[in-house]
Amino acid sequence: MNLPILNTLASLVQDQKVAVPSDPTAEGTYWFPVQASTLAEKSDWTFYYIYWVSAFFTALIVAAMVFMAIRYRYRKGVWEGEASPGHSWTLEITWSIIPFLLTIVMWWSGFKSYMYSDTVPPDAYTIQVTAQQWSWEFEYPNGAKTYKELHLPVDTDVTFVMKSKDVIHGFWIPAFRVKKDVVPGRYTKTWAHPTMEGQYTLFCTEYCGTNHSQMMVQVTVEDQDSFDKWVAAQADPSAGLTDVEYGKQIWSQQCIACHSNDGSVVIGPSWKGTWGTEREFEDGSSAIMDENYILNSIVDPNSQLVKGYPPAMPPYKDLSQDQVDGLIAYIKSLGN
Amino acid sequence: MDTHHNDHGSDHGDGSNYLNATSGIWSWMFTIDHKRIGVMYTFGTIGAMMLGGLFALLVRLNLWVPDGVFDNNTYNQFFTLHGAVMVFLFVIPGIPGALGNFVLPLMLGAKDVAFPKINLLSLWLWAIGALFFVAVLVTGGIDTGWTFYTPYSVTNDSSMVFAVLGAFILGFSSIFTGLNFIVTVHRMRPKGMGWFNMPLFVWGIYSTAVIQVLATPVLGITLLMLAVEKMAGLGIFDPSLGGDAVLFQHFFWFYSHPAVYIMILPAMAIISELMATFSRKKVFGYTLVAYSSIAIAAFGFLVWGHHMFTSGQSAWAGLVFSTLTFSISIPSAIKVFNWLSTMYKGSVRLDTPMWYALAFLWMFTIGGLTGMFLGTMGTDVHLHDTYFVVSHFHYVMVGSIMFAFFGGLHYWWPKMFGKMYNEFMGKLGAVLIFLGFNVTFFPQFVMGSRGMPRRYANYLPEFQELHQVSTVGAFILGIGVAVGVWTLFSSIFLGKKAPDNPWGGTSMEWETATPPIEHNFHDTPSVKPVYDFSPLVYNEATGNWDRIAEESGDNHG
Repeated sequence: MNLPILNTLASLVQDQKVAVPSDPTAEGTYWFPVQASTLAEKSDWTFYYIYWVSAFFTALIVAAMVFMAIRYRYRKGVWEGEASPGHSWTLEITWSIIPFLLTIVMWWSGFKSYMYSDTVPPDAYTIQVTAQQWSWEFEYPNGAKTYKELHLPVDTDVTFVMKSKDVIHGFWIPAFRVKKDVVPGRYTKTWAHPTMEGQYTLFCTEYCGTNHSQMMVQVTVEDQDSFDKWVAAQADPSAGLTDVEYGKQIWSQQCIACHSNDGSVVIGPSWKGTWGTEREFEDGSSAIMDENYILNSIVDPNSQLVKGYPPAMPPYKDLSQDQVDGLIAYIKSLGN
Repeated sequence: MDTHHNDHGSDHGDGSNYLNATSGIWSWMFTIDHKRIGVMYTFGTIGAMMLGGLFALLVRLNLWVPDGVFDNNTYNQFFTLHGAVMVFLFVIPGIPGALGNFVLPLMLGAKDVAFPKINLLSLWLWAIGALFFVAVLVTGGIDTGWTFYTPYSVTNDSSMVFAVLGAFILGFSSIFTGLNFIVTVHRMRPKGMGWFNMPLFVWGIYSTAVIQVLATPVLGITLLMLAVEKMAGLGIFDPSLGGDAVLFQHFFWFYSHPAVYIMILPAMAIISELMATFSRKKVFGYTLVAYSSIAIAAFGFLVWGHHMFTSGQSAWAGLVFSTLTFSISIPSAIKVFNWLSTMYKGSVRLDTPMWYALAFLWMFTIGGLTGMFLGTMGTDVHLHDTYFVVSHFHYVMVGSIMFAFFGGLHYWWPKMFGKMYNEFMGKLGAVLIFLGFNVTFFPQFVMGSRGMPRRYANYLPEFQELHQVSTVGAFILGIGVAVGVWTLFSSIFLGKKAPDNPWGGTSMEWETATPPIEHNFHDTPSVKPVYDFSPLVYNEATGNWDRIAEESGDNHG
């Protein structure tokens, strides 16, 4: 479908650049977070166009209303309005045609920016996104997986191929103006071309249950070199880390939702000060918190359930030996 | 001046009216009098509004601090119940049930609606539906959002079957009301009242009734499928059972978008009456306003996909829905311009109902214009599921529909109960509601566009300031509603006796006694040209607008 007249009309107005800041150091405007993708400029233009049209008509209507309420206010004994035409085709056609023309511009420029965001570039860098209640998983082409953060290279087309393990989620990065639902049973795709290095937030926007509001992840846009280094390090997550650091990293991604490191109880027991102590179990037996106990608790958690806690933990059989070592080292470091 | 009656000679002669003609609880519960049914709807829907409002205040209270005051699950139940109670128990049935029932037959000079017993059934179904929502509360609540999106609603192990069946039953209440009004308007107009001699309130209620009858069954079928899926494990919407998650959204919005017009058309209908009566002029471009109601009703069926621009729906389908959405903005704009022009060279009286009507014009303008940001595909991608959307539909549902409902209540209240309310308190309520509403919702536009998603129990600290302003506004709004409701209800006991026609309305409900007699009219009033204000003159002594006797005969015996 090609409507050149509309295209010209939209681009005519579009060239006039309505108050959209393009300063890269800007912190966002009154209405928007910073524009950090190529889509942002396009979609914001349409927003500001509608905004000014709306502001103008709101002012016009309210001014006319106030003026007439005062000018034609009731005066004692005036029981009926003055005679005036009951309708006027000239007026009525005018105020049908003008809104019609104004809306065509917003309709068309909105469609153009929508098509831009919906047309995924074929050779873009691809990140697999998996959503579940209530976390995100990002898998990069080199096999690296991250959970608590998403890194993107600046000035590069990035495609997100998304699926959900349970209910519908929504993938939204306001600074990019990118949003797409993540639907179980099918793949959905969206893409972005980040234009500015910085830290942004990714939100879940389709209501998905109890902790919907906690499905937020930090997005870091960085230069290609830093990104390459980072993504390589994620593929070999223990590189350059001590066992304790590695263990803490795994904890912060996969265990933190139930096990604290400071003594507070979330769902399962805290790890603080447990190393080497005697643990009492629901069935009355007990064991010392050592390497073998930790290994067993990871692969078969309910066989030695600590007294007073629910059998809520699923077995984590796909952790590598390095990862288990890391967790043991980390728990050890939390003292006894 | 030559008048043919005053307000003392217009009742039955023995002082009996529809309120006191019979007494006892059964005379109300099994009444088939449209006026009593309207009064019960009025009390019921106002009660539902207060309950929904209480949940709203709890929602706003939670959002005072970024971490929330309640736990996530409690908050999620609050916003779900707020939405479900407001939409299904108040906004959809409110104006047609309360004011439509009371006023429509009177406006047509009829003794009742076409099917008085079905009318009673509607009310009963409403009450049963309301009981199902009480059952939801008692059995642990639901946290799906009022939209019941699958597959979350299917995998949800809470008492959502009650909610779904409640909404299903309320749907039938709505269908029966619509059916009744369609037949009433077609068959019971008095001799001489053609379609274009009907008050615009009748046009609006009629358009609404058409949507109620045609769209609501789809909701019924959808909710039934959802209940079957949940109880029998049949795969319709749940992908893990082989269903399609997005299919539900198509079905749901195929009803729920037209439902927006089920809500707004009666509100517009009230505004047409108020603008005419208080400007003392016929509504400018009457014919176009009448046709625009029908146009809005018809287009309303074809725009549902604009709720789904980010769902993975095809871009070309989206383009069609966007186009049709804009086509509906034109008749809405026409109505606003016509209402405004009605004031031109009028004699504008600023009584309480008119305050609500003018506030409606302003709020509906904002609600309608912000709809364009969401009907435009490109901008909707960013704004979808944010507070911008929340704010937009509250400007329509509260700023427009609730304002019109209050305007209508203040307009017809003296007719319903025979008492005038305190004018100062009425205006105070209107001002507080207007202020509170805008302080609550305007910041939400800004929040949403800046990046605040909806249905979040907790949020990033950068949004706290705007959330707090919004919460303060909500409590002002709550006080305003309390003042408004108190003003009306207290008038029943404290108010001065109301004359037959305190505002100078031209339609037939103002020609009968206040409150009306049980059978509405002794003799059907003669049909006069619609919105002809010339025979009405204000009588300082009685506060009544007397009709100068141009024709012979006394309508009130």
